[in-house]
Amino acid sequence: MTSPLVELNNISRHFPGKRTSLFGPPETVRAVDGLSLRINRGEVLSLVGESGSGKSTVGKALMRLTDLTAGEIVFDGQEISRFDRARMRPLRRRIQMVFQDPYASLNPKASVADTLAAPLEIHEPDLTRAQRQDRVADILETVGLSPDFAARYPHEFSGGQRQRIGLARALITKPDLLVADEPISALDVSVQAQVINLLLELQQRLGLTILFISHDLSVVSHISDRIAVMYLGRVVEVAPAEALFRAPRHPYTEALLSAIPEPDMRARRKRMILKGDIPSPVNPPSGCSFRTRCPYAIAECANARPLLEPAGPGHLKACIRDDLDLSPALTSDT
Amino acid sequence: MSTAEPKPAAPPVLQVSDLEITFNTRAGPVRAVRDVNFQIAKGETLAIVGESGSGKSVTSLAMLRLLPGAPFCKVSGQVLLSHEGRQTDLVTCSADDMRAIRGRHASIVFQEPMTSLNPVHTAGTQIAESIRRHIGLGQRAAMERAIELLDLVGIPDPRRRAASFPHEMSGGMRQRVMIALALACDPSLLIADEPTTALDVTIQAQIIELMKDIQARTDLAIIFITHNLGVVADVADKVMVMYAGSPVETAPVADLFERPLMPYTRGLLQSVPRITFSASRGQPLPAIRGTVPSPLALPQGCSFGPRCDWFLSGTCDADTPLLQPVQRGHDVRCHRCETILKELAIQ
Amino acid sequence: MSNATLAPAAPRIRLFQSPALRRFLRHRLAVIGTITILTMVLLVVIGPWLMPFEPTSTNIRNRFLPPFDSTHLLGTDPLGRDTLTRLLHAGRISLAVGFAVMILSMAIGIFVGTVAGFYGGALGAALMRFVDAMLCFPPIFLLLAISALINPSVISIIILISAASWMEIARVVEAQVRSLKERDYTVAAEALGARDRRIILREILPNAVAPIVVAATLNVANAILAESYISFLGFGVQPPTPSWGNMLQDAQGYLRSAPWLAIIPGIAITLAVTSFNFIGDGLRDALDPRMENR
Repeated sequence: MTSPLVELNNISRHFPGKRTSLFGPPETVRAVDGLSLRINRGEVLSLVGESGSGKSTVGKALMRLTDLTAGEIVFDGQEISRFDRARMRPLRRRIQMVFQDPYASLNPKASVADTLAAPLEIHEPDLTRAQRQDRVADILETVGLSPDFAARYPHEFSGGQRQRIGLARALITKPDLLVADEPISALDVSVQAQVINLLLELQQRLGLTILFISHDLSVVSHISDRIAVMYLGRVVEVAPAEALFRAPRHPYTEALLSAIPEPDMRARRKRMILKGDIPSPVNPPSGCSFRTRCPYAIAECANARPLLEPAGPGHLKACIRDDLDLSPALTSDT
Repeated sequence: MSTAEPKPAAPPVLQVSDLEITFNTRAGPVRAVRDVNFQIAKGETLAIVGESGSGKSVTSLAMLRLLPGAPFCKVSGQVLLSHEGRQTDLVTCSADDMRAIRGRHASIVFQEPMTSLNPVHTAGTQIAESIRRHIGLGQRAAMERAIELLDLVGIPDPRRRAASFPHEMSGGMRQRVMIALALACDPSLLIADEPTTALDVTIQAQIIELMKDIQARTDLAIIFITHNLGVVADVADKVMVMYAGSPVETAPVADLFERPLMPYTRGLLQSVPRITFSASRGQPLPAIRGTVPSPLALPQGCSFGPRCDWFLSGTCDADTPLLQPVQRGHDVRCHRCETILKELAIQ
Repeated sequence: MSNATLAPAAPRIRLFQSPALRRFLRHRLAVIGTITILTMVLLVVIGPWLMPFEPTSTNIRNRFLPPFDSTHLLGTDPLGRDTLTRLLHAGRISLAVGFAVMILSMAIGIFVGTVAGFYGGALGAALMRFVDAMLCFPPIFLLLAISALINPSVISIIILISAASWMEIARVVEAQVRSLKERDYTVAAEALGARDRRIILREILPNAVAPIVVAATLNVANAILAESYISFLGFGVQPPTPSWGNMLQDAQGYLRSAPWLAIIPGIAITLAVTSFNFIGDGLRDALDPRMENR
């Protein structure tokens, strides 16, 4: 096996929160807190978590849109977490991003051609105008839009079409890694499938590596090779997709799987309902951060922060209880 | 709530007939909703499913007269609400009657609790205020009742939480307060407009469980508006699927998921990714092509026609199909329904 | 995924049917304001060429003629100069001061606001506190104090008024830039490795045009008013060069005997200032798409 494309080693991103007293130091919001993850070449790795889990911050950190508090990011063998803008610039063409809200991610005052030509002007300044236009037409066709759309403006498009334009902007520089931050959650249900299909098709055709950030486990099950589950700024379980659904090893994963509403009357399962809300990332619980909501918590859980340990082939979990028999989302017959 | 067995005949809590909503826009009148007919009995949950622009939210707002009035918007048809042995038509009743009914006999819960709660009053005050206005309890008694309600909706330490302001609570907590507020006067109908869409999955599961639990205890009729078919399978007894402003299929929930007949419903159900690791994994999802039409430019004939795999030129684009019963309790708006049924029988 | 799966996008919107223009044309007062300003500009540009009098040519025999005299349409002043001629020449000065101040204060305001909003941090805070400090001085005293010290000319008046009026624009721009900087499309440009200049010129400023244009329009109105103030108080444009402000000053002594000498330039100032304010209001509504259905 070759080296992974990306390695996130023990990364943390802390934000200053609000001040509790006039002269006291501000609180620390631990959005990402000691997270390690690797993304292999050509795979779709999904990062799943609820709001406040820090999953979007991981994406931003990897894009170097936010600085790390600690840890390192290794991209294709280079440690990039301390690179300045000038050194980052040539790498940017290799790491691209698709945003959640297709209405906010396109400049309303720029035509599609302007938006799509911008990456080329930055990274391939030697191209002639005609060459740029050709590339724009090509990429529009790649994402399933007519090249005639180049002269139009974002407000003339529907949400699904805009998301295709966003995808085209990300892919026009032929990146190696695509960070997709909830790319379909703002779209209409009947349009979501179109965009998922497009992502999958392009991933296979272009050999992309994708970090897919999502809160929707059904979508994730459809497209991922591996899945990482995040809770309060840490990864609590990583596994090949099928293994995660068939044999989850962390109680939080079990709860997440059980909470997915499935559009199927036969697949009704007994729900496991978690108590309470996600604790504040300002002062997360000691030891295992999930223990306050975990139905299987024992006294030892408060002692130390559990590390990610092997729990099967390619399967890691951060839970000290090895004796649990957690219910899967899938039984062997499905 | 989730059992699909037919319930004994009870007078419907709400009966909606020929509801039609027209907005007057600069580009001319736009019929946002038309042909809405349904009824809902005590203890029953009707899910209205649709995408943005399908008219599902407008329908719910119109039922409680929460839309801007004339000249911006015109509502016609009948919305009969049974309460205290009487029936009131919510389309034509006086503004005073409407105020007395809203929050008392019929309540609504919205998607975003932060904007529906008043940020300058505590949770307890807001609930108590509604109780005092409608039932006329004293201040102290109303506050006690408010605390009981907060307890009922599963808020821990309700006495302390009653004194909290909305911004001091999490999203899930606020939605619980909204539900407590909606239930304050023991209404017979609750309209829930995407109540879980803004919440995380684990919190969504909590809220759904809560609503089922309350319904089991109070025999409340619930209209649950959502775009999430998974949630529908979980909560509904009956389902009404809306597309481009009109209902296209209504059926008991089990029927709808077992045997969807309208091509739009079929496409919608197929295009939702499911947890599966069978051969279909990694294959393209069967997607519905195209996008939802603008209400300003609906296609001729069947409004789903241009996106439909069963589209038959000369039939589907000729006239608008009617919502017709195909099986017991199962109505479909489709010209090609018979053909689809036959093909399903062969498979 | 074929092209056939996509509905055609809406037809392109041409300028004459642009929604912003349509909203503007619906704003009756703004349209009247625009017509008034255009007429005034036209009059002061070509008017003086058509007048048979010079603004400085005195005629002792025809002093204090009331308006609607057979040769002097708007009458004459205490020195027998033709009021209409002087009004048109003064309009050139006053309107020119208004527009020049607008351009200069926009340049300063946009620069300061963009730098402060985009880079933020200590530099941004320092710049904006400086703006706040400038705003603390009542502008009229600032103008009077400085103009008393220097030898006033049209150029120095323009610089002075600009120095006292760029702060509002800086504030508007700073707030816009700070919010537009957080938009996803700006973040996307950053993720592409775009340089600051590109992000500012391509992503941020084009989307801040609406509030800047509105502020600029109101700025012209305020500049015309400011010039009138200080000229009226005698520290502005110096006689014999006429401006609407110093025409008012000249009329001071004759309010009872020849009130039209004050009323005529007064009307000109009021007309220009209210017209610009109406245009500003109209633009504010026209450039805000949320006003579409009002």
